[in-house]
Amino acid sequence: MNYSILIVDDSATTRAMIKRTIRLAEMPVEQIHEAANGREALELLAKAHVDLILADLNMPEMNGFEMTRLARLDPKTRNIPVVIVSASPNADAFAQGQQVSGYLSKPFTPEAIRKVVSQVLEVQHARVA
Amino acid sequence: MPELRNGQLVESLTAALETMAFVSLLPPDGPAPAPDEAILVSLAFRGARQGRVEVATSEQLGRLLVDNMLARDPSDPDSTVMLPHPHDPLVELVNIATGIVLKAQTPGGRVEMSVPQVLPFDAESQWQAFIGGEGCDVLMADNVPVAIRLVEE
Repeated sequence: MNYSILIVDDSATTRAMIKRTIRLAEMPVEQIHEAANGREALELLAKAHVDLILADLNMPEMNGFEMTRLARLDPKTRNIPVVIVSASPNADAFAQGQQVSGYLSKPFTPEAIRKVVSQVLEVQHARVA
Repeated sequence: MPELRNGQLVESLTAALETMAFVSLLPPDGPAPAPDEAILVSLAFRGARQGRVEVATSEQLGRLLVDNMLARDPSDPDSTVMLPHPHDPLVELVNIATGIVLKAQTPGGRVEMSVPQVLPFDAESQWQAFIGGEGCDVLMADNVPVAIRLVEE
């Protein structure tokens, strides 16, 4: 099965870095969407199928805290795994409270991204199988 | 090496640069010159602590960060499509460094970080005052001067 991932981060460089890491790891990922803030992410989620969200927290227009809260309220998106990728000092407390699937603090290595994405996709695969 | 005024902030910036872009921060050999293509990035925070982190450096460092973070070969003409603006990785760098230092220095306290802002900065007229100000450390990243300070309110 090939998966679809959404990267939500206001840094274009960070989005590109994560995207490159996932592509180079040759994971079963068919499509990688990008959004620069929570509002763009929710708009995309309304139109596209996504299997995993990698989300920053500190973003303009709509931050990751609000985006995750709203995604959890929508039946269409509430079960999509969310991995928080953030430098925010409040990130781990938020991650624990919102039942996210993972938390990766910035700065991160490519290996750390590969590991967390791989782990979440394995769980998804087991769930579907 | 001159004594650092905010060692933990410098350590945070070092961790961010080395982990994500393989760039080291070193002390300057002498007085650090004002950077060309100067840029000032400021990130305000509030909550258990109030203040801002500011970094003054050059867009040149931003271009280096883009190249390193994306493993881009600058000599390859095919690798120039849709590159992030050089401000982008510098803003992200300040975001990450601030997060690290606030987490270390404010355990258990809730601190809200704003989105970093890029502010006008004229190196010729502002650099000396900036690096001479309280709590400012100046280092070199791949021969590019980087001045960093944490201002508490």
